[in-house]
Amino acid sequence: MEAVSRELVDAALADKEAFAAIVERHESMVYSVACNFFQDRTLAQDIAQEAYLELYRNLAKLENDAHLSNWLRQTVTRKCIDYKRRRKNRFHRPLEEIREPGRSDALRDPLLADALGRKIAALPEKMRIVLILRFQEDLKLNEIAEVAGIPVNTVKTLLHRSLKKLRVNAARFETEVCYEPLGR
Amino acid sequence: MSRWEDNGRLEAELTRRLARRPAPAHFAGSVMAAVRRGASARPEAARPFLPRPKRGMWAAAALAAALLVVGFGFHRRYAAGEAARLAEAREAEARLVESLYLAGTTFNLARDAAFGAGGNERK
Repeated sequence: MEAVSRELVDAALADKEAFAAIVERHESMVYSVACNFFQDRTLAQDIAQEAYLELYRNLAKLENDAHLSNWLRQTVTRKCIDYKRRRKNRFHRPLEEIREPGRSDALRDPLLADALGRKIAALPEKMRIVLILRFQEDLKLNEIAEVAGIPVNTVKTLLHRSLKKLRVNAARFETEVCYEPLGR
Repeated sequence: MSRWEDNGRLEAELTRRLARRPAPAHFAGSVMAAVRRGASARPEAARPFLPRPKRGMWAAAALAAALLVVGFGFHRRYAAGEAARLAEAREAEARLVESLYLAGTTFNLARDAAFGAGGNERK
């Protein structure tokens, strides 16, 4: 739990260069939300950068460093959804093509991950963002509701439906290819 | 029963699949460069959030367009009728003037016959 202080915010307000500390502290979260949502690294960087610039323009409005983190998460989430809505027909590279640096693939199951990646990529935008906030950010339902700007009951429904959809599709995939996971 | 339906296997795989990943090494540098420039690399970034489309927005837009089309149709139809009526009224006016003139002439002739030319005396 972050302390309720304004150190980072105040430092960045006093000196533009101190904003780098904020960027470094939250870059993984901001970039990952966008990357998991768009399945496109370049676009994810653009969206993450926009979120940071938005943050920089609104620094004075932030109450403390914890608020900063929530604000950033909310901003990047909404930017992802807004961008997706503006560019409905934009081509995206499939999720399975993105390697995940810093994480060993040796213990993972590539076929399983590929299938799941395709299924996640095919989900509607709200379902996808709810999954990302739940499984990437480990947020509670009410926190997801606040970040995504949707009612808690809608979050529950979206999460339930998306998991059901993924489960059914994954099971179908399993049947279709008679697939046995590695290491069994 | 599929193995996806038990013991949170799907949830575990999602947690792995969607885990945070490190940003590219140059990311912080490019953000700071943009902050120093005071603008985003993309012009869209300068715009605030666009209003989100509401559920009934397209229906409302379609209704407005339909009303516009109907209104324009009515306007054209009634504007044409109005012009025809105006022309007809002008024609009727001309006919009336002509008949009044003729009637006036006839009256003058009758008066002259009764009272003599230039006479209007009924004394």
